[in-house]
Amino acid sequence: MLVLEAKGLTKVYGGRGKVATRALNNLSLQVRKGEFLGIMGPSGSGKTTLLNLLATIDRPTSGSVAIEGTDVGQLRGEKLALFRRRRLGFVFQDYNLLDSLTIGENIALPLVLDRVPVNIIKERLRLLAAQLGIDDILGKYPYEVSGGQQQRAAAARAIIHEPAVILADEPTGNLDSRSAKDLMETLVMLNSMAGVTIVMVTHDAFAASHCQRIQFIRDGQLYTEIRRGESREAFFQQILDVLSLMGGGRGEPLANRG
Amino acid sequence: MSLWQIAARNVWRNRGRYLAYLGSAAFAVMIYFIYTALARHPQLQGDYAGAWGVSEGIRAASVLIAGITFLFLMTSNAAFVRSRKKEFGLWSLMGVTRGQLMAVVLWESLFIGAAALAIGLGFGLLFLRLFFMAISVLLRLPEALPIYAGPPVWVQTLAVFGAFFAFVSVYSLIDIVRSTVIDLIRAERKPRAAPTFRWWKALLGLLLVVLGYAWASAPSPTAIILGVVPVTIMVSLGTVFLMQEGSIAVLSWLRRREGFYYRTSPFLTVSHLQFKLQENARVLANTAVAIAVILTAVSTIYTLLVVFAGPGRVGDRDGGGGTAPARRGGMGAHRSGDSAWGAGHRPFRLPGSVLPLFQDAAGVGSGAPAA
Repeated sequence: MLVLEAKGLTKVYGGRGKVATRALNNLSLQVRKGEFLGIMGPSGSGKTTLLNLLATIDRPTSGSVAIEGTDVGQLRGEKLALFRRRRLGFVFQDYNLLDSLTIGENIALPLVLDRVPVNIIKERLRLLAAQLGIDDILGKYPYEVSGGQQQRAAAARAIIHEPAVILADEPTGNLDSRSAKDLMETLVMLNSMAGVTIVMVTHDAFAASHCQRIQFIRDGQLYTEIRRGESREAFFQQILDVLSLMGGGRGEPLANRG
Repeated sequence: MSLWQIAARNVWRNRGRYLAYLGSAAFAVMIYFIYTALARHPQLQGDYAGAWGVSEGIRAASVLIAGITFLFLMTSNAAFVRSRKKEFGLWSLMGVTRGQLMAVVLWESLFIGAAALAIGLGFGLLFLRLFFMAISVLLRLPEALPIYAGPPVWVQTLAVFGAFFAFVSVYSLIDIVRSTVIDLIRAERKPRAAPTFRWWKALLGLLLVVLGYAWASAPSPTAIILGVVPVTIMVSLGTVFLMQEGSIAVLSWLRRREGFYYRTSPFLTVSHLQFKLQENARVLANTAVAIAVILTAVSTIYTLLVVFAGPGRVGDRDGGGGTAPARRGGMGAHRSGDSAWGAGHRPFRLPGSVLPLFQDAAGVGSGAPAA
């Protein structure tokens, strides 16, 4: 069953006096339910643009995005907000937790916004936090915990309302290797145990090696696709091979991301 | 926990930022309230000679104060909203609808407005007596002006500042509603453009300031009185332009002097200042303008009061015509001493002469100038 289907996505920036740049060029993508898809590509290849389009916070110049069969291009205003609230989860590079809420409140935020009864919120929060090993920091504020813990809280927030798909933008970009490994294992666990569909944009070949399938993008178009076999280590090597073939990509500074 | 509780919690945890804004808004309300109370004081409303000048002077000052406060509220609210854009963006991404977002922002700023009004009026009432006492001493009144804070004062303060706060709230709403979710989230990450020197703006600023001061020091009193409003606007605008462009010009000049610039501390300081000053130029200029206008307003009123409170050395005044009225007023008051207030039954008796320039400006003379 398809959770997410993008057809012929094209996004042109600029125009009217400025030089138009084609960030995406007729790109199509399909994600099945329960899949863990990685999207990789050099800077300026259109990864972030693609994720923004999938996240419904930007509109394609042409083409369409359907999530669980709903064409999100048709949604406006209230309905779009509601769709985002119920069907999408986000993980960002810089965590984006609200400083003024505790970790627990941050995780509960999507449910609170959806007016879920408080006892259900508490119950889900307790289960999820135990699963992710962050139940001892629920009462703390974001600035009191490490980056790795913040990002795991962000992952919990992305998943607590059982969205159709989680969109992750460089989730390991600000983490040290140890925290990055923990986070990726958390995401894999959520994916395999809870059957959550995840689409992750990343530069990091190690993080990407946890995915089941990787789509490589260059110049706004699909470049190639690889699937994971039995071993993660072999997959990691395979990713490095594609990256070196494609040029750029590896060792590229993260700060250059658009 | 609802969206409202989250919003309330947010206000509480960010109270430092809110308190700074609230405090300055309340202060503005207080000043305006006190000034309005003076402007509408019944003992200043009498039909004594020069009454028109005194109450008009004070009224002009309260208009100026309202204007400055308005600019100040706009600037600080804009800074305030900017610092929260990312948070609003996150909320939108989490599925908070535009309507809910607008409601939160609107209620928040209305609440701050109401609180500022309440606090400002409270402190205004508290300091009213002190202010009236100071004014009475300034005017050498035999007894202090009685406290006055009638309904018109309250109504005027509430109306003016209520309108201000409502306008500022709506203005910041428009800013938020117009930006897309991506804009909101990336507001902090956006690289800032290097400021560039615009010579026409600098020239315009210089021209405005020079012309403004030239007008203000014109030999004809009529010109000075007619020029109060335009001169204030000209000098204020000129100051803002000069401040913005002047700082850029000086810093880029320093940057071009390579022998000076390529050393550790100038390298870091100058390049940083170029951005920082640009960011703060508006606030700095506002402060400069506010101080200038307040000083002008205070000295104008003081001059007016002293001129009208002084004894009628009319021949002296009618003949002079050329020098600044402030100096003559000051001298007149000096020479008069306390004798002018000798007759005690009216606490605020004013002598029966008016400067000719007020007749010119208003076309009405409350007392014929005795020659």
